Amino acid sequence: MFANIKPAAAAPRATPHAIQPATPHSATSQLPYSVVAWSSYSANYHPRNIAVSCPTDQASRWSSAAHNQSQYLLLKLNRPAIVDSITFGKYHKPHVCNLKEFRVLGLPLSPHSPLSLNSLSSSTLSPSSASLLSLPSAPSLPPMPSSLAAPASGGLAAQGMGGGWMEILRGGLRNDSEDECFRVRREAGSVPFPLTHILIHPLAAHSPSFNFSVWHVAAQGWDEPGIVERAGRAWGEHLHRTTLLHLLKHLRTTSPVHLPPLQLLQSLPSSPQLEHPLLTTLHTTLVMHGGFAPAQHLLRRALEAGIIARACAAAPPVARWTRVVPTPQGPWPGPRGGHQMAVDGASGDVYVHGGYDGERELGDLWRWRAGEGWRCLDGGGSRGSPRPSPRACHKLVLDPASRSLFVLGRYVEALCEGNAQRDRDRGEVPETGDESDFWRWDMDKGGWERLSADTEAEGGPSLVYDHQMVLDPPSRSLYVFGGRSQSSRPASPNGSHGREAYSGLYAYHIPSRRWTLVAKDPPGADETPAALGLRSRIGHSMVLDSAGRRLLVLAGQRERQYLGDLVAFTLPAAGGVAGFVAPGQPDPRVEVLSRDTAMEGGPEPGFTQRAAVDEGRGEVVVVGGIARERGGDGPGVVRNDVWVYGMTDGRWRKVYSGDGAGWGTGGGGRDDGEEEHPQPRFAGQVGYDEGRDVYYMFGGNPGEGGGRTVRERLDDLWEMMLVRPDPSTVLRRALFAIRAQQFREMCWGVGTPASPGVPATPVEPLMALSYLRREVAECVDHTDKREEREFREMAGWLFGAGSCGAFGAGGMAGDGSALNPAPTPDDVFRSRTQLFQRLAEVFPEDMREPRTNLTEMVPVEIQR
Amino acid sequence: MLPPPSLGPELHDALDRVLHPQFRCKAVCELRCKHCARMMCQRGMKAILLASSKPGELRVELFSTDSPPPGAELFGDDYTTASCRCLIRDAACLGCGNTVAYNVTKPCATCLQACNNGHLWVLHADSVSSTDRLDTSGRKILRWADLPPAETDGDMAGVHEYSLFCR
Repeated sequence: MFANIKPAAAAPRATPHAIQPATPHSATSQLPYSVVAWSSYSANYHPRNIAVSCPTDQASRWSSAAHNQSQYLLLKLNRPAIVDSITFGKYHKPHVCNLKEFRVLGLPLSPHSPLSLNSLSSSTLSPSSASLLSLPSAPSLPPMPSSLAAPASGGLAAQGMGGGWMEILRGGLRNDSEDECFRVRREAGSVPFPLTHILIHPLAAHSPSFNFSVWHVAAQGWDEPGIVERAGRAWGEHLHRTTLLHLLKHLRTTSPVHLPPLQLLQSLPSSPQLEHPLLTTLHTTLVMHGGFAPAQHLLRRALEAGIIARACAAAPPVARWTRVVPTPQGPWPGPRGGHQMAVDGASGDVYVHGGYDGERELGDLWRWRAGEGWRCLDGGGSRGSPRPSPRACHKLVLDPASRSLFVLGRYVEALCEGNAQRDRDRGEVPETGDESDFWRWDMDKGGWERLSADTEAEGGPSLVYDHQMVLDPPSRSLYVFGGRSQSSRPASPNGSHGREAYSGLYAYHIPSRRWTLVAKDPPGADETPAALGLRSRIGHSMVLDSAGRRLLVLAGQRERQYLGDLVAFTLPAAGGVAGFVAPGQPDPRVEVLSRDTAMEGGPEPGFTQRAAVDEGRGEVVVVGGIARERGGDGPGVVRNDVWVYGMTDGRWRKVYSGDGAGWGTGGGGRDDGEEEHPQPRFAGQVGYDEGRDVYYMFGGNPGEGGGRTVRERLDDLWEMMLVRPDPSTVLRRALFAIRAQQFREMCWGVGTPASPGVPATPVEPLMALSYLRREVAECVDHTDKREEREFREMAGWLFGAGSCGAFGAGGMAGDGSALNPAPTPDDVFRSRTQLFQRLAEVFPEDMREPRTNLTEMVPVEIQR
Repeated sequence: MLPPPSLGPELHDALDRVLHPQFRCKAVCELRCKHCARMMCQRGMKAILLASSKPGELRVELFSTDSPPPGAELFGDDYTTASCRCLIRDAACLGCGNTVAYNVTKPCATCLQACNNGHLWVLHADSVSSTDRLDTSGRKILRWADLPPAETDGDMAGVHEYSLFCR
């Protein structure tokens, strides 16, 4: 029943115009791979399960968290290989999640790949192929096919694939228990191509409402370095020729002046500057002449000229989390979700108030001070002077000018429509009032003051939960937006919202204690065009862009819809308080910046994300929340992703990817063995301390399942720093890379020419060792584990590890195989070119050669 | 929502009977898929399969519910088993696709005449995990006698779900 179909030995295809080398004649072998990226997964159906065949275990599979067209699995072959066939294993019974339709894409080994073809059998040749600007936890993945990266833009029906991806298979599986083996496309223009990555793209499951499952995947083909190297070279030549032909054609059709195009291209001193002159010089010096010392000098000049700093500023930061470890004796606030947090910019003090511990609401107020720890400022409780009742899903805002914490709103379970109806049905009176009380905590003297017993009666918001509140210092006002009203008062056009309605935008002038209604959802808001503007909502984020004088409202939930928009509301420039515009009227103050931030590289539609503002850098940081997988109708996925939004350039960047956990599943936090990561959560809180340049995250709800109960809440405190590359560190790493190259060439026996053009004299191995110990070691940050490891591994080069070593016998590789021939001038050139490409990254994008290669854009005819 | 099973008038009468007293005191259970933890339904009742409750036969424990479980969906065709003449169709969990339940699309006369709870949706005890649903006070176990009809119960799911998320 579960017969493993052995892929047939490769049947050589008839290739009419056989270009050497053709597809190999030898038998295929299994190609080991690892799953390196995926769109989503649900429950414990982790993508890595597909490497294992266990047909009787229902859990031995990948299962997506949605059944839209954006689901994928990205497999990286352990070694580049010519893939001949792919086998899909299945469950021992028919299953609704089996793939009725799918396609498979392959990423061919690029001739521009930094991987030297000689190093196919070893990965130790280069210290690291990682970008000098990238920090250790930055993901390094091949670019996705454009149709997957932006699922809604082109539609997956589009055949054209950017980034070199090629469709190698389109098929479907029968809904039975038999393994199925598919021959894939492995040649283009009669030339076989080695692949580095395989992407599986499900298109339909056997029952349309269900997620996709892939039980087992095995790939067969040829990965012997000799075969792959020859094929890769031939493939590169094929692409190169195709590219040159296109270039030739392009130039010829652009202008007759470009004839003869190639010579002209190479000798165009007067043409628009293609790259920074320093880079041109660097290329000549380093690649052509092996001038390592002058190359280092050129990079120092790049630092002095501020060029490296510009590249650093444009590079994405990386989020680094550190858990604040509780001291054994000190007090610590209990676990909670739906609490509030505020950071005092002047002192760096963090305030946490209220929340829900899984059983009851909390009314305590805490202060965390770096170096001092937690201190309970007010224990809550009903005794003593009046204070806010225990509450969750409220808002707290810190006003440095009046040294106040303002508290507004709360979630009252008994007032919620369904619960209230139940209570009424039983003749019970809801236990709590629905007045919206409003409080102030005096940060200097301590103690609560009730500013209002009922803000709705004073023209302010009714009792709301999961609204947002921010301070606008110039106008001395608080802005309150959204949330769901729990008031029993009937709705009126310019005033009360009525029960269950989404509350509008209000302003509260702190000195005069006056409320103003600024904007309100028109009736039937979901149908009118105005509704596409500032739609009221719950569980959204709102921050003040003080430079731009506007409020930014992000995402949230409305009815059952997860919102993914970003809306700006312009505030009066002079510092006045915004006035009222009647519902349904066009409001010029509202600008929809994005209807769907996910389309612009931002977060997926979702709610309970938490946002904080770094005013100095003009950045909004968005953490976590519950996101709905695109097109999915599941209950959402809890994630700890971190995004940075630039308020001036409108650019989104994902700076941290925490593993997601399905709602009600056992997903945990990220675990890469070296760093600690917070577990995914929602209803936590995030604040930013500008003084220390640190984001704080406290508590939250980890979700149910995985051994957790519905009552579980978190009490962990985290610091998150956005680490940005530092120019002098980047220079040091660049110098390390150059010296590593010089050392490599010493090991190869190439030697360093005394001056450009002068033939090099072979280097004594002991000289190389001494160079490693002095010159190279000097550039290594020995406290950085990765760098230190790279440095230690370099000593092995002397003995031929990964390359021909100075102490090695002629042409014998250190691993005993004879696969590595003595380095040729070509190897030296390739290796220096690879280094040059890495060094070029310390130049801003507009000063250097493009990241993409023309070869990856050329449409290649696939023989069908 | 799935359309109600097409039954003759006499069968409707049989199903519309007031819930038998022996079921009124039963606890309402929340049922989750045992494989992927997805919520199947919040209106479950622990029950014994009618067709297997004849003397001398093994009692098959299961869970039943009175409305289509939101977390599962029907697939495939109707079929009958050896136990009785009821027409049934399987339903799979929308999270993981495993078969977790079936729907009696057309009950047989024998089963209708036996003392039944009127539930046409059956969840397999080995595929779901059960927790007792609490009443609004959050302290007492909700009984079937106090459970609002499925129509109004469903309306509250959104609010209930959100209140889980916001804190």
